[in-house]
Amino acid sequence: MTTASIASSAGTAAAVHPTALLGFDHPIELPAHGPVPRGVAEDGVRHLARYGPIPALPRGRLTELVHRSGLTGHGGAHFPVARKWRAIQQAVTDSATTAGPTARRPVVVGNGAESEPASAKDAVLIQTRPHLVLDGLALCARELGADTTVLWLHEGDDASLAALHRARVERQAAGLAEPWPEIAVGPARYLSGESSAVLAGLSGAATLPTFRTVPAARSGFAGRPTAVHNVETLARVALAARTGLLRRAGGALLTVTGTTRTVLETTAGETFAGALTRAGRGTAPVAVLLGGYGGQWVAWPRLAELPCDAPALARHGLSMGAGVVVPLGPEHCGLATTAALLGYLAGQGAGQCGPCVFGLPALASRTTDLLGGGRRSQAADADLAALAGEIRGRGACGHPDGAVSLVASALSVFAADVAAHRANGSCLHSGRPAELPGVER
Amino acid sequence: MSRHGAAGPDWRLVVDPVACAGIGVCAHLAERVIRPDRWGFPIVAAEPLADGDRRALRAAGAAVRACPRRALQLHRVDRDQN
Repeated sequence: MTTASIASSAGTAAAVHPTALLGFDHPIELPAHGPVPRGVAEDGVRHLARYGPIPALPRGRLTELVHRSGLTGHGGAHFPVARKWRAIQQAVTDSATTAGPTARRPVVVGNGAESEPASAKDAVLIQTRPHLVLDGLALCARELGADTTVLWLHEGDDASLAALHRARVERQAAGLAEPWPEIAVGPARYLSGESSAVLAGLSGAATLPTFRTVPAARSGFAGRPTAVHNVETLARVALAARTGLLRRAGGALLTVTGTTRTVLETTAGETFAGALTRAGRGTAPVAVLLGGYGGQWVAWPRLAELPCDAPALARHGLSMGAGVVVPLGPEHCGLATTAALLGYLAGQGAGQCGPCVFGLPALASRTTDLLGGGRRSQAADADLAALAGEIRGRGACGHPDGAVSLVASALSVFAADVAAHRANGSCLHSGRPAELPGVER
Repeated sequence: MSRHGAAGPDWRLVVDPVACAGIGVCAHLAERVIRPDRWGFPIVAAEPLADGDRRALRAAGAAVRACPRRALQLHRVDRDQN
């Protein structure tokens, strides 16, 4: 990477792959669980050859491009990125009106704390395309007028940390005019990537979700307007700046579980059937757990022909979440898998909010009760909907709502299994739960 | 305009679930707008409290002031956002 080659250009990069925008033309095979093997990071020279330099855009233009692309947050919540930015721009304007020159400048946090144990796409992205993530961080900072940028990782994620550090040093040596991003780490726990927990951790408090009545876009890190963006979201911001074609191109990084884990980049209009075939999962599943462990079960006939695209899924009342795809084969019991997942989620709470502390273990044990048949099973079946209703929306973060979404979707998708288990405690399948990363069976 | 036709703003009860310890004083003081869940943690009315509903507002205010954890808050609801 030479100083000459990083000169800003308003042109588009012809080298961008027409379909696989992040450049993952082939699925990436990883071990079924455990840490992601260290990837080969694309250095500055190859990054520039593929994408070209960061284009010089007039202020406001990137917000426009991001808005038109329909880009949403790929960490899981899929909040529209442009709407978050406009809230920050508004907060800055309001603060300038009241505080004048002492107005607080925004902060941008790149979130690489990939907490879903099944997910590997963020680690793969950081370790192979660190410059794309850093481009996104720099572009976001420039567009919002931020002078502080932070990258947030799980402690122990040394491969990601090393890749980002090397890329950061390369960019400084090349003289890129961008804030030097601080790299910070939080405990490697499920909720350490939750955005209010990230902000708490950055401020020196315990890395736990906090109850917020004011959004981070108005008052986040040190009271400054703050954007917390997943690293894939940042990479897509970097693409939007260069091509402005993200809506048509669509797509997401998925992690598909199984005897191996497969990370793949879905291409424009690709359906879940197409993606699973490309990931080497030839046999049609019964259902798919979509998004993450706090996601939702979707029957395969409903999902197969839908595109792997967050806005398209949202129109069908579904969420891509963090891009985790768990295909459930006929050899496993969806209900038993759900009970095991609920046990995991109950154990991963922050232990702060009553409805989560008491509600999630209750959800897990009620769902386990469903499996055995008899009186306990009937009582559980009668109570589960009310129990879910008492938990939903009552935590400081979305963790309990994820567990509720998981169990509600299971009761609907696996209704026949529920009936069979309740009637005689017998399973329509093997009775065995699927084996999933981090989850005890 | 609120259902009661008063001119003031509407109010919404909000629980800070991190601060709340499920002590339950609030549900005793404001039965009409707060009920305890099966573990004793408060479930607050989803509907905003109309400014004209003086009894409900008085009870809610008493519950807010009585919470030993300062976990209960009354937030003004801007009508144009409602």
